[in-house]
Amino acid sequence: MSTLHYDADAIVVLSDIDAIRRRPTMYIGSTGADGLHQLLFELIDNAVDEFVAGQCRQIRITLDVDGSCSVRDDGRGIPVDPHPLEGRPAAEVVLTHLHSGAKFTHDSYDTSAGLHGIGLTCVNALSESLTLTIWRDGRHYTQPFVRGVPVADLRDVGPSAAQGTWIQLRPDTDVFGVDAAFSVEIVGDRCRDMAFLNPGLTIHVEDRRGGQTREYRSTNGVSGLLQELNRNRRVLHDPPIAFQSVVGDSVANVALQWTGAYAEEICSFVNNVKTSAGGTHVDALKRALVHAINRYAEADGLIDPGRGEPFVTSDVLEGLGAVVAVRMREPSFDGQIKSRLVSPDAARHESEFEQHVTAFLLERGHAFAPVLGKILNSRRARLSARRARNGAASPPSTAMRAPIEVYRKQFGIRSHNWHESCSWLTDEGLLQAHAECCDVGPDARMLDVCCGSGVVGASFGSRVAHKVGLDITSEMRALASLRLDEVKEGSVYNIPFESNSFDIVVTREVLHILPEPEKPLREMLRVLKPGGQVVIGQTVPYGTADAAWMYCIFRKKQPLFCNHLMADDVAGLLTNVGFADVTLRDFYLWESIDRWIDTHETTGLHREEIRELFRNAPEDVREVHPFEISPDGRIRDQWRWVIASGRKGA
Amino acid sequence: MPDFKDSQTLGNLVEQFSRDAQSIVRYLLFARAAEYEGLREAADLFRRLAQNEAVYAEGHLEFIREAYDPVSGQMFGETADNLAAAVFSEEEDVAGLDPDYARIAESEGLGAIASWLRTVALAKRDHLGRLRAISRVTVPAEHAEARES
Repeated sequence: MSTLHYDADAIVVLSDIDAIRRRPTMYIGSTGADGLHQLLFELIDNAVDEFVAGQCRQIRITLDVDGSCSVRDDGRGIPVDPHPLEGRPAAEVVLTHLHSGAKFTHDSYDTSAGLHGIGLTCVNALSESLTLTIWRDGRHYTQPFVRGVPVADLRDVGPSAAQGTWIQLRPDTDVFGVDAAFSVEIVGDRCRDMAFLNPGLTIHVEDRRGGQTREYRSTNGVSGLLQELNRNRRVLHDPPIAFQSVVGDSVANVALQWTGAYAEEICSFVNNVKTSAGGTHVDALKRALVHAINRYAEADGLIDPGRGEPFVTSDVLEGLGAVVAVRMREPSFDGQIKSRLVSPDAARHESEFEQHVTAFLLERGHAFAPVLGKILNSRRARLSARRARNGAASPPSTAMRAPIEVYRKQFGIRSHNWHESCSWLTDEGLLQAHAECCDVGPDARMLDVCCGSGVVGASFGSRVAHKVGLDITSEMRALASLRLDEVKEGSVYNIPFESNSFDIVVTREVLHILPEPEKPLREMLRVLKPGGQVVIGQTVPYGTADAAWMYCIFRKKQPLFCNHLMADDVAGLLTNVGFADVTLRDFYLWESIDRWIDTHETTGLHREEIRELFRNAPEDVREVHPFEISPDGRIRDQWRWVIASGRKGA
Repeated sequence: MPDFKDSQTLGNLVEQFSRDAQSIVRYLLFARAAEYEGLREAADLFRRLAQNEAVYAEGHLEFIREAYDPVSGQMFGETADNLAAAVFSEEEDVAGLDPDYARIAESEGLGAIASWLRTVALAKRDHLGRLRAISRVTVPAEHAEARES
């Protein structure tokens, strides 16, 4: 590639600069944090393109105290000879004319990120000040710009043995606001990805504001990136399955590794640009995986060919971590922010992908056994859920009401990573909000019903003297035994304690999954001593506007969901079964939806539907129910909790 | 020839309107499933079909509205009429959903569905309140009087 021609002739001027400052969002998507970082990423992408062209080994990035940043590479340096159309130095044209890069022809770069990038002209136009420094062909050049306009000609400073390009810029506060600041985490993540995707490239990031320096360098490519992404997960096989697929002039590097998680995480790139919404390359991989694994399972006798239920996408993708990095010419993307690849060419990798996966399975099937076990489990759960839904022969009451075994199994499985399964479970503020409701003497005997890991009961600390737990699963019982004085296994519909045994009964987030909730509430009332207190936490809608929407989300997340309770319903239930002095207190807590829905009882499709419900939330919902969708698609939702307290009559 | 209001064609149109309107939601769900399975072309097709179904539904309605609003059986066209038609249909929904439908679901052992129906009824009651409130502001007095008489 080093023989490729890279001088002024390669520069094709297509347009002018002016429009950018008038409508910056058209070019960089937003003038918030995303747009700000886009400036820096454009510089990094250009430097990485030099590495890909075989011309650069190191990139140095600085984030400075005054809000400026700089990127320096040791590549060829932007050409300085006069541009054939403009008569100005090519470097100046590249920084002042849209669509003027060398990447619109293939002479200098085979596959580059920069082609669909915003271009140096945009970066320059949106910078309060920018200094360009070039070392090329034994000379040292520099040129200053202010808001995209050159304030001096390109100056030949003198001879130099160095090589490369160095751009220092300060983002324009008129565009990005005075508080705009680069995040070393966001920049670091990008550099980490770049280093893994381009083995041999070294990227230094120096944050002069915090005085920290990071260096990113990798030799093991997409596998290394995947191992990094899966670092805190229980992997089912190691190392990842890794292969390269070459179709025409397109190269795809793929790494696959299944973990104990439920949700899939497929991280994809095209020419070093992250495609956060996937696209044809990811679709090809999904189809190839389903096909290859089904064929393997049929050949292995795990599925009866032609008659057995094949694995479907959600079976195969459960817990899959994958990195797919494609290099191709002229990729096309959906929309401006390049989040989804739409080039049909990328789909041509499908049969190669399938062959590689099949080859791995045939050669190293034993390493894949734990994954296959997981896929079989996932299929079994899916089929039994379908049988339950379509159980025409059985009366509707049993078809719709889950037997106790379903609760036992679901929470037994979830006990393995109970505290990781959502934020609210261990949130100290929410636990304290429950504990603060405690209004019994320090000698009190407490029962924590459906206690899970026992965190609610434990949060009452020295407010009570003796803490007893009750849960339906042996796994949870074992967990809770670490926190509570005594834990029994049993059902809340038939609490295995004498009447009048406790001074306080607590529970949290169970009423919505208990059919006929009056029954367990009456049981709680029964085991309370006269004058005893009940404390119950429950998520509820903000009002009627978000109630149906929330119902859809909770039902898709949790198939056992059967009571959608409004705040008043919680109080009403307590009153109806005979509790007195019922009071409610509100508590608001942000929950990561991605984490919350990453549990085995939620299907992959339901996860997508839940995200879609957030993305397409009606205006009525948005007005009352706070939630946030970040640019990378992650969702945070602020839940309304009520903590109800009541008394058994004396 | 029968009057349009008594024609079999109007019945057919109403049936098609109902099916196509339902299909907007069905196809969007189908598209999501196809997308999840990596079948982008099928997903795109379903999404396009959903957009088309919305057009067809509106086309059917264009004829049907000459006779009545297919859901409420009321007149519709101008906002004053449409508000009245919406109030009428929401009232019917609330009356049917809660307590009847919920109670039936309960008696059939379908507790989750009963809860769902009550949840929807709650939201619909809210719709009704808002529709009535905006009707009072939007509908000129003589129009409302004419309707009441």
